[in-house]
Amino acid sequence: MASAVIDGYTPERGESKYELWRPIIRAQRRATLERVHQNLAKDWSQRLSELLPQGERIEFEGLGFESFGNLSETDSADCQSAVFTIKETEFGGFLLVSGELARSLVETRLGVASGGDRDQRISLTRIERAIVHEALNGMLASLSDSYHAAGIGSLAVIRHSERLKDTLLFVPQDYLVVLRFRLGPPASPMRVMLAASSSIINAVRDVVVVNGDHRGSSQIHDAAAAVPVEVDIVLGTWSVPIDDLLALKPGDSIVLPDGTDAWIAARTVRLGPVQVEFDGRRVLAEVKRRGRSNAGD
Amino acid sequence: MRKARVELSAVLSRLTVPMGILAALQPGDRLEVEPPIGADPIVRLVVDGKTVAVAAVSERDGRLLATIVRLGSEPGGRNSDEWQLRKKAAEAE
Repeated sequence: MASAVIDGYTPERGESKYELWRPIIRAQRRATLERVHQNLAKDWSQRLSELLPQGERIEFEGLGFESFGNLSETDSADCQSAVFTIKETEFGGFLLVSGELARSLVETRLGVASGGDRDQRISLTRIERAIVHEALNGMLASLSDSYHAAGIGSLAVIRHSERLKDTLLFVPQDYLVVLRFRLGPPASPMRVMLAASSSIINAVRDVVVVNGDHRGSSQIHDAAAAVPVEVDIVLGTWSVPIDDLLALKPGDSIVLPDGTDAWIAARTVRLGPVQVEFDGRRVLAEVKRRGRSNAGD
Repeated sequence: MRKARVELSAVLSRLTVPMGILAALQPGDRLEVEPPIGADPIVRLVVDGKTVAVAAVSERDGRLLATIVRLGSEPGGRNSDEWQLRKKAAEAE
């Protein structure tokens, strides 16, 4: 079936059973992300106005989390996708249009009438795929502008991919943030799916409106408290000659410190010592004392 | 120049934590981190904040051992680890 990967979405399906590693998103962050993608849908509708059926607009449906394994298992050869990374981050993602929407874009661009039962259609020709890729590139340009404005970053390394499994960006167990869009009524098969590393939810800047009268209020405190900080649990450090570092290769083994003198660091700033235990799978880091230790600890 | 030395850090976990939670950490609080289901525990070898190698972590003869499995950073999608915080006070209740 064409575009199975993004068909059948209804907002009611947003509730799903608890899975241990499903990312959690705060309500304010969710609202910000939804606003970004609602505006993105408007941009796409304008940018693709000549390729969309008259009077039709791309609508944002909602946000959810799904594993890459689930998404790629239902991938269809009719879908057309583009893979992207985000500059100066390790985040990546892909944009995918359903086979139905791809066919519609091509038909509008070429000025040909719809052929009725699209399930009976043969695959897109090279020229038709080029038309869809051009549309995808335009959508990615809007996406890049939107993500840059939202603080996530501009897109880079854009390439087209026929199948999701060929993206090489994710492993099946990676949870992705999935944004769904549609053209037409709720049951329409003409759909767009945008999926990205769930880490991008931490990169979004929450927009908090603070009036002058409220300076020093709890709003500022709440906004500051919500700022995501990337921290490392560091077992130890070594001073290593560059020669030795360059000689490292897969298979080399290093004996690690036992975890009694580990610490938490934000970039290169040590925030405080922790006692680390490793049980073969889980890392347990117990805070030994608060506050920044002296440089050179 | 190749004799120059750099500081190599062994980073067992990389987390994204809201500043408010970080600021409120107290002695005895525990951060519990577990790799995603199906993924192996790893340690990142980091120079100046950049991951230069990813190693599998194992325990042998009571010692932690890192065996390099990949040079460069880990693939996209495994950037920040998932974590849970257990407050000391909550545990005592």
